[in-house]
Amino acid sequence: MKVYMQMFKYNFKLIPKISISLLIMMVSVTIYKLFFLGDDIGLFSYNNITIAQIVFRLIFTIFLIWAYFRTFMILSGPSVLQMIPEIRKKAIIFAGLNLCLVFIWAVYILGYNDFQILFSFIISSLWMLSTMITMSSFRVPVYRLNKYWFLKLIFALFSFVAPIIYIKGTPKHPIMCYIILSVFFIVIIYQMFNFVTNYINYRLKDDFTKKGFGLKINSFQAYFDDAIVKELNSLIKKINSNPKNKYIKLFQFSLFEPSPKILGLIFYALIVSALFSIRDKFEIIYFVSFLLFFLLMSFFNYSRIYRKRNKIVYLYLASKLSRNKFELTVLSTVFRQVIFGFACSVPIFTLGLVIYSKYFITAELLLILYLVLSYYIAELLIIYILWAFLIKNKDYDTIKQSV
Amino acid sequence: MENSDVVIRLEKVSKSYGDKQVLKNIDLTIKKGTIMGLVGKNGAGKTTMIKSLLGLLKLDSGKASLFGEDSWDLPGEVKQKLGYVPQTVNGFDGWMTVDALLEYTSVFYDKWNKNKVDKLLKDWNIDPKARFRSLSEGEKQKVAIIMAMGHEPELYIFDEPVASLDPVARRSFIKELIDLNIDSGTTMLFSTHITSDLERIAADVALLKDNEIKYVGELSALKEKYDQNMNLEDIFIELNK
Repeated sequence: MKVYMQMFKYNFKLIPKISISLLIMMVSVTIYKLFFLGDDIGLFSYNNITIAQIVFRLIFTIFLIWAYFRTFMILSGPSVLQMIPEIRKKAIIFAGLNLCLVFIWAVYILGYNDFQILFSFIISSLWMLSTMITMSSFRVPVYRLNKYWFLKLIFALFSFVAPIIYIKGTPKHPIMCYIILSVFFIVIIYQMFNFVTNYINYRLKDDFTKKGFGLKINSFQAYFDDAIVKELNSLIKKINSNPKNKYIKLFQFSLFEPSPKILGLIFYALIVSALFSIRDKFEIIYFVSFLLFFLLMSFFNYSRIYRKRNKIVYLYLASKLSRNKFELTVLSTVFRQVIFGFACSVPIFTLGLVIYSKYFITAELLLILYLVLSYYIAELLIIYILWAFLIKNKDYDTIKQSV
Repeated sequence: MENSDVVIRLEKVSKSYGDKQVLKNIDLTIKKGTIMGLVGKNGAGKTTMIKSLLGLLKLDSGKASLFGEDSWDLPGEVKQKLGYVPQTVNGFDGWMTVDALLEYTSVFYDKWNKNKVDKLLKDWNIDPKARFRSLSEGEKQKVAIIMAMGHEPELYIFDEPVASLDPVARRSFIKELIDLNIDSGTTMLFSTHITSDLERIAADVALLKDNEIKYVGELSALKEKYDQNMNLEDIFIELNK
């Protein structure tokens, strides 16, 4: 027990800010459940939903994802992998204990009496855990022979489909769905068992990024990397032929992680198809909560952009701009990115409004328009305030580097 | 009256981080065409001094200038004359190939010597198609040096550039610097722990100790002050006793 307590302490100190944030999230959700919901009502089972409930549901979900992900990040870190098998065995027991604690706590928060919600929680947790196992199995194989990489791929696809089968298919074909989900459940247990055994017996000389599944993933990654390099080359060509807004374009490429256009198109198509599946009136309270959530995400995202210290230093020294002009160009770059995002979202938003107009009256539509415009104004304000605090006339070298 | 020959000037420069003073009344003048070696123990303030010169840190007091312009607000034209290699090479996206990174950097500058860049890549065995994330620390350092050399600056500022280089690359790099200095009279400020390299390259040396410059002048004069048979490393150890 002493060893596990020491591990807990070490673990806590390893990433103290994240540990403290997790603890605060856990305590706040527990207080909300204890004093505001009571023992009988679970966090997800109350029908007359309030903003507070949406906020705590979000906190609860973020906490779970973070807690699971963190456990696997620690397990897959080279510092633990390089240790002797006995230590790795202890590490995996510790991780298991950690997860069990989180699991018991989550069941308490969700309520014991709502079977449907508990079942959804178990399925989605297992899906999340097994996806993370698959992710960390770049180093530790899930199957005894790495040539079975294709099973992982099938599993990864199936894990994506399983929650949809559960939600959409259960009411129509309950027996078939429960059989499929049971198979999914058995496969996950089998993978976890293999993962634990292989993790303890891991040999450092095995490099799974150079064969089997790891190699496939690497070539997949190389394909996307090449696509981004192509985009960079075309940007350079464009700048060379028309240097207008040269620095904004260069900064934009450097500060915002570029992704191949094809991914953007797929994402766009997914949102549009999701909009067409709208069948019911969407409560305005959900809409406000989503906007607030995205605003919070924007805050973290733009603060991360401004804290790319190494890039800021590089761009400042390489650009032919005075300090003041450089700082204003950084601000313009971020504004431009937001306006570009806004322009891209206009068709989606219009489509959404057309579909929703079945349910909304004009006054409600105006309210939605007003909310969306307020969102964008708030986002621009956040960007300006962060810029004034992090960049304007600041020591670039002391900017706290973002991950 | 500003002397047009002066490339780097620090006047009574002081800088602290909280309670910890890192630079105390530093005075340093480097003239055009000089190769100045900057030596000091870990934490002596070498990197802080370099970053203050580049305008990346605000000074508590004093004045830092490059080509006669205040370091805190360097005009674009001055930055174009500057080649800087940091101590650690980070911040470039892992997906970038070496040639894409160099191509991206070249767009920032008015002139870019592609032939020279290609030659250096070849001489230092860097695969232009290699991704940045796949490079070793030494290779990353080499790429950073090539990036700093592509636009043929008039002033180089190197913050421990050879720390990750193998002996062959180190020697080749030093030869490159000497050639540059002889051919174009390029000015260089070079901070390093490898004192033998400084003896090969630097005519002048600045010794930082206890946040102050204890010696600045010709390396030969420093040796004369001590035993002629002592090398710079011995002198450095002696000074830090």
